Amino acid sequence: MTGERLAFERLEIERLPGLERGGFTLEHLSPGITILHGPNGSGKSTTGRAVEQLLWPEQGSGERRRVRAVLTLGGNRWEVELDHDRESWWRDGESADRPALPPAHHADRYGLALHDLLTVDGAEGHADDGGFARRVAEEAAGGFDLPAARERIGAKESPSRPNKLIQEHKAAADEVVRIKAEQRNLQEEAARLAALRSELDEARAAAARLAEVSAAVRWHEKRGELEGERGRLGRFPPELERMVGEEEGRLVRLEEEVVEAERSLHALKEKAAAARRRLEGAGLPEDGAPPEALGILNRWTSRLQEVEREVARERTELDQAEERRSRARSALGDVADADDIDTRLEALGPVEWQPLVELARRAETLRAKEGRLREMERWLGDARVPEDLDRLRDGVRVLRRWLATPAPAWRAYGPAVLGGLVWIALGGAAVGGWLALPPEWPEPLPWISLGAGALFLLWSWLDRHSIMARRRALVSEDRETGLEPPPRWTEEAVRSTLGDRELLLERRRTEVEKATLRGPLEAERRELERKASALEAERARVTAGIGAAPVLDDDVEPAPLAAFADALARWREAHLEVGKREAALASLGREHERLVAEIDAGLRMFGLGQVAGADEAASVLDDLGRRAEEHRRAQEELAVLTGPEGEIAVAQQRLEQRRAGVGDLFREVGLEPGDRAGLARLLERHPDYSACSKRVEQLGWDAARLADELPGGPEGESLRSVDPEALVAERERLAEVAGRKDELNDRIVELETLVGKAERGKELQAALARLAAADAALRAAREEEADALVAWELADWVRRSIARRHQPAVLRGTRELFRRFTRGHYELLDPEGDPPEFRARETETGFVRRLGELSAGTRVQLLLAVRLAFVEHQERGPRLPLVLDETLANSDEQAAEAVIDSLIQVAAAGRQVIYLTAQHDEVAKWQGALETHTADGPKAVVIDLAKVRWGAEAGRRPRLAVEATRPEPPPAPNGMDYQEYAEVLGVPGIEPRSPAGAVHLWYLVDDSELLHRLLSQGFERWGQVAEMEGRLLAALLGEGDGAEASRRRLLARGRCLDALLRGWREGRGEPVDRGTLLESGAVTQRFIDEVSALAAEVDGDAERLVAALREGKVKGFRSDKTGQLEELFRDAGGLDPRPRLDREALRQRAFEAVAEEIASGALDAADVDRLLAHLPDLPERDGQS
Amino acid sequence: MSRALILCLGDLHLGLPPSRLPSDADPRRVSTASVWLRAVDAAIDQGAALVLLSGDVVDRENRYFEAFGPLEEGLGRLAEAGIPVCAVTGNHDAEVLDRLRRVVAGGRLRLLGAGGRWERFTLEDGAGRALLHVDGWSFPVRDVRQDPTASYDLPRPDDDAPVLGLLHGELDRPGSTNAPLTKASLERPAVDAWLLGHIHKPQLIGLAGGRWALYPGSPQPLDPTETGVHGAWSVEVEGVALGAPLQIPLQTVRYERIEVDLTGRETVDEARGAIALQMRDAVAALDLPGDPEWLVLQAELTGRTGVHGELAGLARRLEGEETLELAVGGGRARLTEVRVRTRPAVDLAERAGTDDPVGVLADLLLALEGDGTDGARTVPKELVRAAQDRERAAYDHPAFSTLASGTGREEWAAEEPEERNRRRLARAAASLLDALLETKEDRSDRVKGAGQTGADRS
Repeated sequence: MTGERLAFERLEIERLPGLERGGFTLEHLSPGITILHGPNGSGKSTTGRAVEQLLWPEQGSGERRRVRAVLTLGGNRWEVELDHDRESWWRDGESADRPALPPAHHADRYGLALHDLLTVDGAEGHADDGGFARRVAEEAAGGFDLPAARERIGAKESPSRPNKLIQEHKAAADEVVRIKAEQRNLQEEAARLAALRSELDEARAAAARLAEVSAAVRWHEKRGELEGERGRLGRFPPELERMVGEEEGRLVRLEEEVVEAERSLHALKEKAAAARRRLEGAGLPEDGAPPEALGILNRWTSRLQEVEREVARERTELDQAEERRSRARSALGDVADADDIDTRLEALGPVEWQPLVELARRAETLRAKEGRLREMERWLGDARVPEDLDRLRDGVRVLRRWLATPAPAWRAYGPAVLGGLVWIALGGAAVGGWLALPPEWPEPLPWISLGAGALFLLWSWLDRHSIMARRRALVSEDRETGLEPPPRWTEEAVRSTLGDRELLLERRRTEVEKATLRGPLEAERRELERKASALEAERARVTAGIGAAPVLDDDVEPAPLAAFADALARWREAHLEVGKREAALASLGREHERLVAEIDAGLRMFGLGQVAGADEAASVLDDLGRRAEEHRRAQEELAVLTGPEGEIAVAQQRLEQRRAGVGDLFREVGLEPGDRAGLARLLERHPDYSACSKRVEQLGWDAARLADELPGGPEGESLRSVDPEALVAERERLAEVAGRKDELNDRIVELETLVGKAERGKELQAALARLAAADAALRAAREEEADALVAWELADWVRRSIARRHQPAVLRGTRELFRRFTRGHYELLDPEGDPPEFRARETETGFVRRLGELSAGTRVQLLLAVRLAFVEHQERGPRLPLVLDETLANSDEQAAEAVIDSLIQVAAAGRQVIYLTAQHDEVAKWQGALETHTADGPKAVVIDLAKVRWGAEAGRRPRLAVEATRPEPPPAPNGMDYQEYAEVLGVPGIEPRSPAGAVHLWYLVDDSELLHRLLSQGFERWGQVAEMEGRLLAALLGEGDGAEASRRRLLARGRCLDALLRGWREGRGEPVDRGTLLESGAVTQRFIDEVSALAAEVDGDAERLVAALREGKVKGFRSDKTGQLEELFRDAGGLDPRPRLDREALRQRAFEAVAEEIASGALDAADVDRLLAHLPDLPERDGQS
Repeated sequence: MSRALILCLGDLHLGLPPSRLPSDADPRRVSTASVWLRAVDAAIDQGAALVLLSGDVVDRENRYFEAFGPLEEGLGRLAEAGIPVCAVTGNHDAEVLDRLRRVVAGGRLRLLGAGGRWERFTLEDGAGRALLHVDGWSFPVRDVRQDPTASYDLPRPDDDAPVLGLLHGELDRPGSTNAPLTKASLERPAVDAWLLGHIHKPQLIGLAGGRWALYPGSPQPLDPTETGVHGAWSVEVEGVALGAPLQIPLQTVRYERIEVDLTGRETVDEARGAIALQMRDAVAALDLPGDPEWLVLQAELTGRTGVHGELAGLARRLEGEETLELAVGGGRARLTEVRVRTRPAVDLAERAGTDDPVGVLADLLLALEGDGTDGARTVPKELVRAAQDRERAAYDHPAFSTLASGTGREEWAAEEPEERNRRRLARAAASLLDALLETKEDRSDRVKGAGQTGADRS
């Protein structure tokens, strides 16, 4: 099988992703060259993918796909089916294994994209050698771009410096080094701490010794000074030693004190004399007035004042009580004027009180009864029994009865009267008619009718008359009562009169009641008068008995008992009060007399006279008190002044002391008393003496203090006894040593602080952590670098392996193919250098060219050659087809021809070539090229994919024939009208289910000349120009402003066409075909052919298909499957529930879509109508198609 | 019968911060000093009779001051509690600890074996009876190439108290400059058990006669290789017997590695989601005694994934990313390092054998995955040599010479150079293969895009 051609003969694409609206089948593919042409969307790319996936199912694995093919290989007929990921192979009808094919990653080697060859990496004229050489090498390596892959994984030929990381690492390392150095230095410093502490101890010891030596030096100095001063002091007079230098002042002060003492003594004596005078002036006995006696007199006087105030208060109270007694007596009434009334009242006891109380109670009762009786009499007035009482009773009764008798109304007799009248009328009529009636009619009936009517009328009259008679009798009866009759005998008037009479009757009944009460009341009046008389008599008796009694007269208010008892109680209370006050006054008078007598007796002890009352006694006692105080003070002052220890004696003594002091002063300094001159002389020299003495004293203290600072014991003795000069030298030496103490101490403290801080710190740890992180990052970078370098080495090794092991064969093949493709014009030379540099030699001239100097076509041929050389080198099994899915339009003409020529050679060499294009001119080029190879050329087939896919439907409708396989140059219009030109061109009808791009340009271009020009350039379908870049399209349509207008118009018509086709499809659903039916899963293989045929019969109309299935057009097809199918169609769009648009609605839809274009003038209504006219199956507005 | 509890610590490395921590970790709480002070608290709380330090108390990198503050503080607290402390020096603090002994006044620290001479300390009970003899030996200099036990010359005490050897050294690594030890040398009859220092990972090694040697490990792990539980150890002395050492977790930082299988993940987002999910599961499965404040994770991405080529970038972005943080007990878990060990989602066997770069690389990868001599698939020697040269060029590049002055810590997951280069080569091959396929896909997309300009799709 190796080297044998594998060629597709038939390709059935049922389903493949990207394939819309059903599958299609390609028949009779050529084992040589098959040119598949069709507009975009017709399935070219799908065909390419189908071929690829059939050979390498891994491509597109997992996709929903179903593809079948028939192919030839090694003289056998193979079939292959790919259903999803399941592939099945048959050889000559029997199941077989898949033939050995190249690996899937070589699949792309067989799918040549000429676009790629023409444009990628410099195959075009401006390419550079390096890029193209790389591309050649890539092709030779199976299409793998090793440099790109190497670049992608970051491979490197030489290591680079990760500067940032290095700097960070260095900085971190430097930081660690720095900190370590600092800490090392600190440690070295810290190691000196012991020595420093020793030096410090030495300095401290020197400082301590220095103090002692300094003190000794100072002691010696003081001692010298002291001795000098002492010598000078000894030269002063000895008296000065006893002086203090203030003796003169002291003498003056002593003499002033003598004078002061004399003056003081004199004043005291004067004071004593004055005291004696005041003593005498008090006029009291020698002992004065004892305070106890004065106190007694004062207490008595106070009591006397109190008694006098009580007398005045009792007297006032007595007056008030007498006044109240008088008023109470007056309230007792006529007895008040009796002279002895007070006596008699005072004599009243409880027994005497009882008749008074009883009399008052009875009088009160009597008065209450009299009051009630008077009220009754006032209410009864002069009531008498009325005379018209009975008549009123009769009148009321009559009127009530009259009202109780109902008033007769004629309408109450209406039915009876009417009935009577009817009967009479009937009877009358019967009688009238009877004369004319046949004799067989019965005779009594009319008479009975008349009789009944008369009876009804009679009863009515009698009943009313009887009622009226009863009322009249009652009127007469009322008149007999003699009362005022009602003004009218109507019910209203009678009721009013009845009300009046009933009110009057009620009054009369009350009068009768009062009249019956008057008799008993008179009797009661008389009884009360009797009781009043008896009571008055009783009162007289009581008055006569006890002299007082309550007044029973009605005029006395309030009630006699309360008033009398109250007056009697008040009198009694007042009377008792009077008695009590009078007794109190008597007692107070007695005490007053006693007190006055006692006070008088007291005053007489101090020679004072009698007093009348408290005020006078108080005044006398005040005066006595003042004199007693004066006497006491004078006595006390004299005692202070003149006593043995008195002030006068003391002053006398002080005076003598001061006088002695003056003498003593002179004697103290060794002078005779009064030697003031001697004293002055001494005092003149005393300051010098004193200063010298103080100096000696100070120096002595200083020396002693300094001596204290010296150590004790032999050391101190040694210091005292040593030569002072030697001491000074020692002091200077010690000062120098001790002077470093602070410095040493500071340094030690500083070091200890630094050590402590360092021991507590984490600076080095942190720096080490940073260094570790930087270290790790840099190591990672180093690993990356190592990875990159090894990757580079590996890629280079791969390149060299390929170059050494595989490329020679590929290049050999390439050279052969290239020579063949270029018809021997060129020869590829062995590449030189690394990377390899390719060159080609022009065989005719021997001129060697770099690849960049070759023409575009030649370069494409070289690329094709190397691609094919690789493919052929790799192919261990059959030769697989090449599929070229690209367009050569607008590309270099020479390059296109070179490609075609080369591919014809490939096919001729035994490899199937499938060429997919949308360009008619390419087809023409192919055909032209193939004609030149008729002798040795491969078999070629040209297939119109549009026809394959939509041909059946298009064929049903009248269409203009077109010969796609052998395109002739389009005929020129030559004056033909537009329609005639269409017929000449064979313009197909519009297939509305096809994309707008498949529509012939004739429908859109109404300028025959322009259309011809477009057709001549290979543009036939709208899709070919629809997506062209604006500038290119304008250039295609002509030159100048007209071209732009044509472009806008063409685009506008295209948009209109698209809108019309979309509108046309509404309500029609997607056409159902075999693929759809298979995909639905509702149609089994058993029925698929029949149902597919039926679908084709109904033009793929899902609705009609379902209806036909329901009608049983396919025998045995189950109804539930039909339902399932219907549901699937609905879901998949096969059944479009929207209503189909009629012609007018579609027209309107188109206008809406191109409103903007119409407004701009690019399109007019005629354009829309012209396109609309070409659409089939459009119902009119009235429902007629 | 008298009983006493001994608290054993080793390799404190005071002054050295743990590495690869999240940037927002509080240095005070994650420092070795903080864990040392926790150990001190534990000794006081548990009424320890003696604290033993088996060397490397102070890290040489920070041997001047910063280690001494916390050490002195801890020793002071132990002294106040009446707990004596015995220590030997290790390679890190050979020249340091003696200074500390002089600095710390009042005999708070008993340094044994100064000058490389064995010395004995006897722990006595209140009655003056010996409870435990500690025979210690200190590094006299930084490098010691002889087995210190060879010079052990102390007589067996004439009482019944057990003898514990206190020593810093490296077990079963002949030629080590850190006092090489052998199990045989530790099994001398005079010593009942050994407390060793130098190895940071805690290890309890059984010796003949039911005796043991204990590497207590660093109480705070110092780098990502020091995974697992770290802390102090307690040993009970009861009469003449030494009890089995028990670990007391004290660490505030715990390092762990997790493996994240990204097989089948086709997008970066999916990969990221898988990492977050598997990280959560891995953390949930961990036993975390002592409730460390930080659980620092290193993830190794494995499996065959279509997003293999983009994982290096994702790994860089994820390292230290706070959004992936998890709450664990009272602490937090954060991913600080992500290593990509995935393979591209390509069937190498299918790709191998074709005469194109992908086929060549697939062949190479299959050879690298095998032992390199897998029949027809052999890793070309010239490629290995060239790759090693390239790697060496990177390592020797002056740009990285500054690393020599770095912390000098061991690389995480240090590998033999050949193995490392082999892995690097495999990584590069996988990435290049991915990139080749991607560039081809990109080109195909570009061509299709260009070819379909202006065209309807069929």
